[in-house]
Formats: sequence, structure tokens, C-alpha cells
Amino acid sequence: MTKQSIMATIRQRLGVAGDDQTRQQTIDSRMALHAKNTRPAIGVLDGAARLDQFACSAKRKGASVTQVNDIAAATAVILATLPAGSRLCLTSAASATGIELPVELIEVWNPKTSLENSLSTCFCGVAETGSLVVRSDAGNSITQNFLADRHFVLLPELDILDSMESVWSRVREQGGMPRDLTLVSGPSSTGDIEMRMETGAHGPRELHILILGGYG
Amino acid sequence: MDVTSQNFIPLTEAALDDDNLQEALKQLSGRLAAGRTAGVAELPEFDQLRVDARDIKNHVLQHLDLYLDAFARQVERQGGTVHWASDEDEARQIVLDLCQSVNAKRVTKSKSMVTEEINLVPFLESHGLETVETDLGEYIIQLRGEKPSHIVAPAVHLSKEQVSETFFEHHRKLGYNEKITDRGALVAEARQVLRAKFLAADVGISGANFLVAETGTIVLVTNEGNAELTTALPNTHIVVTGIEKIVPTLEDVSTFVRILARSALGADISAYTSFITGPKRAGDPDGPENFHVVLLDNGRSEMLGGDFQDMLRCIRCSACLNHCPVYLSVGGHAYGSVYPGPMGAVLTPQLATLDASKHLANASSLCGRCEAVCPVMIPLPQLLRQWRNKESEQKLNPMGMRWGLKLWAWLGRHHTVYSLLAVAANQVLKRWPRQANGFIHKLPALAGAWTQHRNLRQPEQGTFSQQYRKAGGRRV
Amino acid sequence: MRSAEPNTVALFVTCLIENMKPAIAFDTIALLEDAGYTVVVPANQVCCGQPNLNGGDRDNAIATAQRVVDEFLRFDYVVIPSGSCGGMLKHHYPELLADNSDYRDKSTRLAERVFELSQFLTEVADYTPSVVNCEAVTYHDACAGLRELDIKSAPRQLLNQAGVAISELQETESCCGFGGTFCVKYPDISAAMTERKVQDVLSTGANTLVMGDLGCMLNIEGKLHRDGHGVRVLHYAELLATGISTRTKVDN
Repeated sequence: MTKQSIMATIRQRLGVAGDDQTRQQTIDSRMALHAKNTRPAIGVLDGAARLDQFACSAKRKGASVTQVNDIAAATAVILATLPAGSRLCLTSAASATGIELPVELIEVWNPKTSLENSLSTCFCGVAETGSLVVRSDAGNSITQNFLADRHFVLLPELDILDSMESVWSRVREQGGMPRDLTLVSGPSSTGDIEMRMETGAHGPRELHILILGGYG
Repeated sequence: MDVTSQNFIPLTEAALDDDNLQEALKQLSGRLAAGRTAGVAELPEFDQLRVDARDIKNHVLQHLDLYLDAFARQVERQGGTVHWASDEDEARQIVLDLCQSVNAKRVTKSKSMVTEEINLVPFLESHGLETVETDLGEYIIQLRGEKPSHIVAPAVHLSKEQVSETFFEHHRKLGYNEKITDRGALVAEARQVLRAKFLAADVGISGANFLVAETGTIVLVTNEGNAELTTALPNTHIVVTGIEKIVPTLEDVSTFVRILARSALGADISAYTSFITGPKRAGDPDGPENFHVVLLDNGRSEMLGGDFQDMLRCIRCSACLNHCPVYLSVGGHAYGSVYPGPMGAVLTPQLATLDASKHLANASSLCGRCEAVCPVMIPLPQLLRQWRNKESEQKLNPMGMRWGLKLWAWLGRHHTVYSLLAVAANQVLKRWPRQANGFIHKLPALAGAWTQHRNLRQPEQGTFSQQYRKAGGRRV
Repeated sequence: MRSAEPNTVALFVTCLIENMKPAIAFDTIALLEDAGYTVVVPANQVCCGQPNLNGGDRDNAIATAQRVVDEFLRFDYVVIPSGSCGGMLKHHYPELLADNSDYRDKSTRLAERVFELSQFLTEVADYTPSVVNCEAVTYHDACAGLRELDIKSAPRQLLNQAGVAISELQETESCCGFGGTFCVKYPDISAAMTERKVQDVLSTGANTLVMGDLGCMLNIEGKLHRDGHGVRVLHYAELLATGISTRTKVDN
């Protein structure tokens, strides 16, 4: 069997036995403890510094970042950003926020089709890298967001975590990894032609982050 | 692995004469190396992260069997299936069988160096499967029938004009009748063409940048967004990955995420970092029903416990390529391997044969820049020397070279003979006819390679030993 | 500047300096004497073994290393006017001789006493060079010394103290293309690398290029001369020694 022969080669080359309990305990305990390694200073910020780090980093990557006090204010920003005549699909989690949008602007997304604009919520933000974390679950279709030209995301300020490590803590608290969890750090881009960056390769051309609950 | 590295000499000659390529390489160096320098300067903790990353990988390699087992169990717990492939033939067959088992006709693919290594796409296509590369660079070279010339930016050797012609030639049958030269418009056209492919695919194939043993998660690092569209839209997702990609925990993979894009081009993170764990779950609005991971050995396990174990730490960031004066002179195709540059010079002889690829480890000045920028601190120059040692042992290098070195070392141990020869050589070079103003412009034999491109200053009158003795110096 | 206690330094001449440009060795001696040291030249020296190490001939590299250890361990200090040879004795010998129970310890002890010239002058001798007259200078960081011995600031410190302002290259740390036998085994690739270095040198407007390794010097100088550029190439020891009144001027 191929698995057996690969394992046998590995063990033979390392000079170890397959039933070595010490080695098994070593790896089991490393995985169970999942200790943090070095985190940069920009990954352990709090309060206003954390919010600033998030906003600066996300903007540098080409996302637009707007802080709004509440959902109504978020609505205003979305309406101002949508080009005339274009319509918006909401993920079910986004609808569940109670956001009120003119009904003529809303369209129901047909799965596995392209769409102009998508509005979603997200699992959290990561200040260190200015990233949003989107995850697949009943309320959120990953593909809806990736097939959109323009992606709007609602992010409560309290959900901006400091670093990836905090994301993993939250994931473990809430039942473990979903099928897909993606750190979205800016709109889609490519440098594949002559090393010059262009946006809108396959994912959204524009990423608009609406931070709910203004600071100060 | 198939290579054309035997053709290194003619390939490099062609590369040095290729103006388009030389311009492209200038761009590459200017953007990626400069980007990395700026990116590293921004992160004071970078060197500590490199140490952490090296230590994590070393720990994993010491326990590779157990971590692979743990990863496989987690994948299966989540409803995925794990397959094991000793070599590229087995891996290709497994992927084909999986595609055929779901009656697939159309396949999309996100970028994966391992699939290049095993030459997967031509194999699938020969069995009637339309297999489309969705990473823009890979898509372009697929249309052109070329191999990648860089492990992160596969089409880096091409100019915008070349891309424009390629799209015009291949997209006409899809109804695109206009020749486009604007870069943004070229990207937009590719977006449209490939969007249709994404939506029609039965199977999506990806590689994996990392595998997380703790959760059975695969990690994909992209900027384009093609990873999600390749892996979440079709009903079947197949991951093809090398066995060395494992890291223990989500916290451990965070360290690698911090250094991968930064080492490649200076960004703190890529646009999309996707963590995929198993197939679609109850309640998920999308995702594949079938999730398969093909774990490929293909010579990697043989590297453990030996001279080249450190090479298994490689995370395919491309920093070594982007800083290598040889790569930046000749580009990736000259190496004749999908793995070029310093990491390719070390890995290719292992995955192919030393005989076919013996030039690669030799075509290096051992300047050491690769090691200095490697995020996992692989001692690349030392590994290149190891290949040179093996070539000598297997008598694959020229006999003249082996004997010349033996003679030189012998002279080093026979100082008197050496001194006499040195005095004679000094006289010969001092009286050399083909010289002007104290510089020799033509030497014979192997030394002729020096004067091919440069002159040689004539030595002073007398060796140091002669002059020192004449000045009254006594040796101790 | 003289140190309080004269010490004895053994000079490792290097095969290139021995055969091609002894002036560098004489200038090295002059600088060390000016710093208050007595310089002796061990008789039994030919090569550090680098061609064998880099050429796949590890066994002979080990044999050569043992020979060098035997000859030089007699002295408190060993000074080498070359980063690549210095790197061999200080960085590679302990690894080469690690498996030999007799030489493992000896090679480590030798490594502690080995110094590349600029590092000896700045770190051990605490030497301040005399002022020299030289304008429009640029500097190339030779690879082996840079990567293996971290030689970067020491030569610059000495040159600055000597009143020499350096117009830095855009890419000081890029390989010049010498690489020992690399330049004759892959001459076209090597020449492309040397050409980039030459263009960089010309772009600084310097008329003097300074560095610390004769291999790189011969390579870049040979290309400059072939292409008809009038930039002169010097070892930093040659330039600094012109400030010592007892030393004759460097020619050409």
C-alpha cells in the first residue's frame, strides 16, 4: 500500500519507530496547546490603535473603509457608492441585520451566476493586516461574494480582532473551522502582466468596508 | 520529473541574447526584490519570524509521519478523502480516476507548482478533460504552450505585447474580435473568459501552500480570487500537494502567512488567504460535495535524514529567485525545470536526475544572497556544494576539473614545488605577448574563457615570496 | 596610532595576492605595522582550500584546512586581506573539520584568532588610518566576506576616517560575477553580472573603485579595461596605505 511504503521510508530515513509513544505525545501536545509564536507589535494592539491599524492597512490594500455609527448610516454610504441603475444582492446574514434598502435596488442572487454588487457580513476583522474574515455557513455564501464585481461588507467595530491568532481563538470557541474561512485583504488583483498591479482579476474589483459603531 | 536542464548552456545563451526577456528580468528584480526590501524594513520582528518558521519546519520534518497521519485523520473526520501517491505516475492516475468517477468533462485549476512538477494538465487533457488554468499567469502560458518561468509569477518572461497577441489569437473563437493592448483591459478580458470556465467546471483542482495537521485544513494564498472560484463552485475539489507542506497548528501557519507574501514581494499578506476544511457541510449554501487530498511523495521522503533535508523547509516564496544574479541574468526557462533559481538548483537534481541537471548547482557564484533572503533559512549555497560533491563522486563533472583540483591541493601541500611553479608562471604572464598597457587580452584553453569578456592585469614583477625575500623578509 | 603593546600577527597572503598583486600584501603589512603590530609571514602557505570546497572536492578541502591549521595555530592573530579566504578559515574550517576529533577543537581555536584585515584594524587594533587624498570613490561589497564575515561597516569606517567619501553603488551587495571557477565555467552569465556591476560603478561617476577581495578586483578591473573605462580598481589596503609616509605611492 502506498501510504504504508511512504510512512516506512519516512521512518527509516528518520531512524524512528512507528509506535514511539514519546514522539506521538510530542505532536499531540503541540497540537493541543496550539501555542502562539512571535507576533509583531502591530498584531497586539487595542482600542483606538487597533482600529487605526485596521483602517490604514485595509486602505493601503485598496479597500475603501468608512466608519459609520449605525446600520442606517451604512445604508447611506452604500447607496452613495452604488452606480446608478445597478442592483445589490444581500447574503442572508446581511438581510438578518435588518438593514433597510430601497426594494427596487435589491435582487435575489441566482447561485453560480455573476452579479454586480454583493452585501455581506463577516466573521470578524484582523487589524494587523487590515483583513476581513469571511466564512462559509448558512448565512454566508462565499461564492456570492467572490462572483460580485463590488463587495460591501458590514463589520462591527467590536469584531475587529488584533491578529490571526485571535481569529483562531474565536473559531475554536464557536465550534471549529468551517468549510471555508478566508482572509480578504483588499480587492482582487494580479501582477502577472509585466509585474504591474491591476485590480479585478477574478474576485471583486472593489471592496467596501463599513465599520459599524464609530470611535470617538 | 521531466527536465530539459541538459540544455542549460544553449538555453542560457539564447536567454542572454533575448532583449524582451532581459527587460522582463529587469522589471522583476526592480519590483519583487525592491518590494521585499521595503516590506522587511517595515517589520522589526521579521528575523525572529524566520527563526520561528525554520524551527517549526524542522520540528515537523522530525515528526513528518505522525503529522501526516494526524492531518489525514482530520480530513477524513470532516468528510474528505486522502490519497497517497509515491510518484508522479500514481498521482496523475489518482486525479484522473477521481475526475472520471464523477464523469467530469471540464476542470478548472488554480496555481500549483506540484501539478507542474508532475505534468498533470497535459495528462488530463490527453484523456479528454478540458483543463483550464485560472491563475492569470498560468492561463497565459497554457495558451502559449509554455512552462512557467517563475514559481510565483509564471508569465514574468512575457511582455504585454506578447500577452496581447496570445489573447487575440486564442480568444477570437470565443467571440473576442478586438486586439487589446491596455493591461487593465487584458485582465478584464481574461476575467470574462475565465468566469465562464469557473461556472461550467465539474472539478476544481488546487495545490496547497500549507496543510494544517490540527484541523485537516489546506491553505491557499492568492491575489486573484481564483482559489475560491476554483474550489467552491464545482462539485468536486481535488487538492494535490507535497507531503512536506504540513504545519502543526493554525497558530503555526500564521507565522508562515506573515512571511510568505513579504518574502515574495514585500506585501504583509496576499489579497486572499483561504483556509479550506473538508467538503460542503449541512447548511452551507455552497461548496463541493466531494473533497480529496492527494499527498505526493515523489522523492521528498528520500531527502529526510540526509544532506538535503533542509530543502524540505522551502515554502516556495521565490525570494531566492528574485535575488539570484544568475536567475536574473537568464530567467527560469534556461534551467529547464519548473523549479528554477537557487531552490530549483537544489531541488531539481533530487526530483529528476543529477546527470540531467548537473549544470544547475554549478552555475552559481555562491554569492549567498539566496540564503540571506530565505524566510526559512535554508543554507542554499551549502546544499549547492553538496551537489557538486556528489557530481565529483559520481564523476559527472569534467575530468580535467577533478584532476586540476587534486593537483592544486597537492601543490598546496608541497610548498617548494608550488613556489617554483609560481615563479615560472609569473615570468610567463609577465612576458605574455598578447597584452597592451599591462593587461593581457587573450589567454589559451580554459583561461580563454576569462579573456572572452575581460582583460587580465599582468602580475607584478616577482611573486610576493620573491619580493619579500628580496626586501630582507624572513619566513617563519 | 600605536597600540600600547606590540603584538605579533601572522599574515595569510592568499594565492591571488601572492601571484598577481603582492602590493596588497605589502600594504597590509604597512598598515598593521602602523597600527603597532609586528607582522610575520609563515613559510608554508599556498591556499585556503576554497577552490576545492566549492569545486566538489571536499576531501582535499579538509586536507588543506588541516595543513593551514597546523601552520597558523602557532600565532595569536592571523590577518587576511581577503573576505573570501578569511571566510574559509573562520567560517568553513570548523564545519569542515567538525568530524575530526583532533582538528575540531584546533579549527575552532584558529577561527577565533583569524581576522579579515579591516575587521582586525577596527575591532582589535582600534586603528585610525592617516588621511589619504582620494576623490570620487565607490565601494563594492565582495560577497563571501559580506555574507560569511559580515564585512560591511569596517572598511567604510576606515575609509571615512581616512577622509574618503564614498559614493555608494545602487547595488553594493550584488555579486560581481567572479565566483572563483564560475567565471570561466559560465563565462557569458558571469560577464552579464560583471557588466551590471560595471554600469553601476559608472553611474556613480567615481574614478576609483575600492573593495577587499583581489578576485573581484581582477574581474571587475578586467571588464572595465576591456570596455575602455578609465576607472581604477584598488584594494582598500592599497588606498589606506598611501597615507603612511613610509610607504611608497600606489601606481596606476
